[in-house]
Amino acid sequence: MLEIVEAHFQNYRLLRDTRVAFSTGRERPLTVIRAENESGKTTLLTALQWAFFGDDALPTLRGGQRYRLHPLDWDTSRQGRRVEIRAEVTFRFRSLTTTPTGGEQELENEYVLQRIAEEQLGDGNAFDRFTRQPTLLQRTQAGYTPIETNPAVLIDSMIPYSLKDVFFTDGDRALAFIEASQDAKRERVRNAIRSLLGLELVEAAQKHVAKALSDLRRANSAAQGGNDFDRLTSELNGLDDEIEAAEARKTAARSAQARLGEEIVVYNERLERALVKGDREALSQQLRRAQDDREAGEHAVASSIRDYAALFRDSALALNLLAPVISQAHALLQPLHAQGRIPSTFIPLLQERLRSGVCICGRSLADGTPEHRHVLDQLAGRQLEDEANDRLGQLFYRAETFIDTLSNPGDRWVAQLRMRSARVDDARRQRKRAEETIRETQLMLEQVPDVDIVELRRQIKDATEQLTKQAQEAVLAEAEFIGLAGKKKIVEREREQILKSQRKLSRQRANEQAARDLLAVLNGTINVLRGEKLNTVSDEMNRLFLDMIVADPDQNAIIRKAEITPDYDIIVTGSRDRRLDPDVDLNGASRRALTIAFILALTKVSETAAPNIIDTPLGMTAGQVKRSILEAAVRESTQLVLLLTRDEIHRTEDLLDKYTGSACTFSNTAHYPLQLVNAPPFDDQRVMVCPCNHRQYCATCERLHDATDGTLRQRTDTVR
Amino acid sequence: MAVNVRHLTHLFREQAEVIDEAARIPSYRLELLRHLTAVIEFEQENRVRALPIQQRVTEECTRLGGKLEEGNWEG
Repeated sequence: MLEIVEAHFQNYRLLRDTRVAFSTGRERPLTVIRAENESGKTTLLTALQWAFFGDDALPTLRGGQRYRLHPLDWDTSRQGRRVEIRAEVTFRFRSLTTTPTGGEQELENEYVLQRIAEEQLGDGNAFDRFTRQPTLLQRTQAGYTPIETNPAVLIDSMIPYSLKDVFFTDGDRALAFIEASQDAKRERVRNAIRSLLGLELVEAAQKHVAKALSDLRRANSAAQGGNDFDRLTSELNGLDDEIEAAEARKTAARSAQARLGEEIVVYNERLERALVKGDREALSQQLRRAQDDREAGEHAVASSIRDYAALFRDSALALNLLAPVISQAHALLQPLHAQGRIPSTFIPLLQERLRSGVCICGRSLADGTPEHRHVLDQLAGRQLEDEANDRLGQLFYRAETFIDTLSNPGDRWVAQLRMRSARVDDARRQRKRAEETIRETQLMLEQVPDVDIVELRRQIKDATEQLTKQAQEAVLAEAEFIGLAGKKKIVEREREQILKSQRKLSRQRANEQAARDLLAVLNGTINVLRGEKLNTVSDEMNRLFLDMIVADPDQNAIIRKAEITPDYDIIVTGSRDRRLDPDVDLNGASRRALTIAFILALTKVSETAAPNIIDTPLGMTAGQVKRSILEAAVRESTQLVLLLTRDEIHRTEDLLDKYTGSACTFSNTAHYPLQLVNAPPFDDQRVMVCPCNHRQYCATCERLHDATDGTLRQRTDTVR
Repeated sequence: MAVNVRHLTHLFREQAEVIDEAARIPSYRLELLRHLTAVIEFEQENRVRALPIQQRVTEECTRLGGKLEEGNWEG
């Protein structure tokens, strides 16, 4: 059993100089570290993982960026470019040893694990890191002395690397066991179970013993001689190779399935994120359409304005404007017309008569006659008067032409004016709308991340096709594997018969028998682990999960059972045996409860006693479910470290009173003055640790509403 | 054996029961478990630092075979 006693970190991100003591009492196994968001909870979790497992345990960042260890605000001008990062963890390890009389005895040792890294800071975010081998000191009567074996080997035997995510749990990240693509979830659950139950070790041993057996058979065959025996040996070894190849194909296909499942999830997430802002391609098309609309609008505006302007050159406008004058003139000319004074026909008549040489009375108007002279005189006398009459006549007829139109003065032109004006307005509105669309689309385009959505969709399609292919490949490989295994059994029996018939005792045969026996035990163990133990984990998870959600009337009414299938799916069954999708059908509290139940069940069945360190275990939970999760976690853990926010603590204070053996509060100096009340005594960003528990606050950790929070009281013995 | 695989010891013991000890040599099951434990420990160490693992496992098999031979196993 491994128990962490104390941890001290220096220059590890926000943990500039942070020391935490953990509860090791069996009566009160709980350590509570209260910390709000961005106050070092997850940093402490990764720092502990780094201390135990080194750089391999550090989180991987998006885009392949390396996870830095040094504080973000490290001042190179004042503190230099070399940063030494230190982690020191004191822990106890209890193990059972066999006594000379065959009994078992518990042996406890205390160790100090030291891990040191140096980061050399370059320009910008660049840095180089050199991490030294860890040092492991064991407490003896003479003080702490370095252990002789490789520290990494010893640590891995106490708390294996493969279980780091089980014992050091980020509440949000752990949801990945139930919130991911089907293949990814399955792969994660499968890996966690294989690691915790030791299945991966037994399978590796099985593979190596099988190879040893194959080698020994070859050696035996050479020694035994005989055609049949050689043939069968050769066939058996060939079958072994084929079985191994089929299994490798199956494993590769399953891994590829899981990887592709993960890829599809990532692509879909990227696609969703991009589509929230808009589809760049679709937006570009929309922009082009809007630009075409604006151009059409421009033409429509110009054309409608031309039409509008033409209306002012129309005679109808002049008629409208002159209507009163024309009507007046017409009224004046009408009597003259009635009197026959206009139009004047006298002069044209005289001229016509002169040309014909005969008067209308029948007398001759030949040149030189008195009548001819008389008519010429008349013409000369009337010339002036007739010009005026002629003009008046023309005016009268023009007025006569327009007089009908003037009966509804202005209607036609005004109607035209209104219509053309409306056209101009419409065209302008069309242009304005297009311009607005262009502006909006350009704005959206600026906000759209530079993601090629078409390419993403293509990648999703490709990955989905590959996923189907890999699933088929896995099924084919599985079928081939089963067929070959059956054939191998037959060949083995035949060969065994020959071997027995020879009845020759030889070292080779003994070796082969020994390898076969070892393999039989390993095979049997694998079958038990894959079957019975998996069922035990499943039952235990179900028990814990139902315990946790029993008080949630919503979920309790619809959930009947949770289980792990032989294919490593975590499934939940509702009423009438309806299968529920944990992703969709469970609320946030139940999803978290299911995840924690899975982790606790695994640790329990594996009989592994190591601390459960859980970051944000009660996020998204409330009421009785929150309390049930907390109680189950305390009950099922040998040492429990919970990193909790004030919200998570709310309404669990009495349980924390009961189980907490050690507590402290983390505060981030950067939270002053927006969240912290008092100015911190440091000018850099760091975690300050004070001994306040879940019911206290002090000058170091006091936040804005602590003084008015009825559940908190001020601690006055503050030591910063 | 390492803490996380201690539960395997019980399983190995159970599975070793199927080996017919009368057809081998006295205390053969205990010997087998001892060598099996050694194999698992090699596998565990191999995860942290690379060992010539196949060679080590084959050696454990032949050591157990040696016990059979020394015990006058008649096959």
